[in-house]
Amino acid sequence: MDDHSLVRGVLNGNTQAFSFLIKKYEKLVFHMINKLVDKDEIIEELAQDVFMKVHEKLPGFRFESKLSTWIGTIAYRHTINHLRKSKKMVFKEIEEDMEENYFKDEVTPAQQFESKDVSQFIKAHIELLPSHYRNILYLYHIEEMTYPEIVEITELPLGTVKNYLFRARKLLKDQLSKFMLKEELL
Amino acid sequence: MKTHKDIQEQKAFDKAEFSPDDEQLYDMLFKELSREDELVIRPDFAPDIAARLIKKRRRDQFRENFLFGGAIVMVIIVTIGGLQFAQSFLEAEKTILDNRFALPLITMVGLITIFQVVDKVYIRNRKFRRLKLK
Repeated sequence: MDDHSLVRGVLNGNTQAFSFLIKKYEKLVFHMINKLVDKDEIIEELAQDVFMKVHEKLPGFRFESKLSTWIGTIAYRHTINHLRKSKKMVFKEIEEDMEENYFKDEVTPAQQFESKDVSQFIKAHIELLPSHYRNILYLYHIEEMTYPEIVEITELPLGTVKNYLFRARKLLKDQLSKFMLKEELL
Repeated sequence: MKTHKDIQEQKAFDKAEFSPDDEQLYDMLFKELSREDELVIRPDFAPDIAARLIKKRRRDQFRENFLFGGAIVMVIIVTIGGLQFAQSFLEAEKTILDNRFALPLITMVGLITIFQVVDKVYIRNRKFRRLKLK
């Protein structure tokens, strides 16, 4: 079912259409919240709130952007507002001079060797990135969103979005380089 | 194609630090980044939200009915109070209906009340029924 039919169905009061809509976009919403929030127990609660908001605001949706971008925007803003209210929002900027030391404090050499393969190694290091970096990486590489779509969701300037994305990838590449070197030495 | 574009963009960002080995590393990294993490979502997540919506709508409708009923009662009480107040200024043998403003005022209040009831019962409720989850 395409997005236009889904939205029309929901606006006509069709529960099944709304269930389809949730099924279609639940992964996006859960992943986005998961990238910003550490506690697993509140992820579902926030996701529920997001879909309630989606239902509430759907009559005002005019397809000026993709439905996924619109839902992503609601999920992002709701999560950020929740974090701000609970005073857990940390807009931690990684300064250039801190970047080299960033992973050192978090990952011990023993942990690095514990990673069985490249996938596991990269996953472990993505988790250590600041939430904004993780979120932008997810939107760009998994959801395959364009820069303007990410800008719309995060309300960050285009330059900042690109900067976060490139810096995150460079940090991961540097770690990957070290990992590969160790693998060769073993 | 996208990976190539991404590597070129990354090259421009990294500038002088970009070596041929880096290209391979980025290629490997991008492949890993495009793999989605496992995330467990309850199968009844969607039905739960639908149930929550129906509950919310019922609650909202009850609150609205309650407030609407209260508003109508208030209009009637204020009208009766107003009439009694006006009558207290009249001579004993006259009734409020003898006042030239009384009848138009009562008619207007009556019409407003009837209009509100009709709007609520026949117009807005029908709209709500259309939007209500089946």
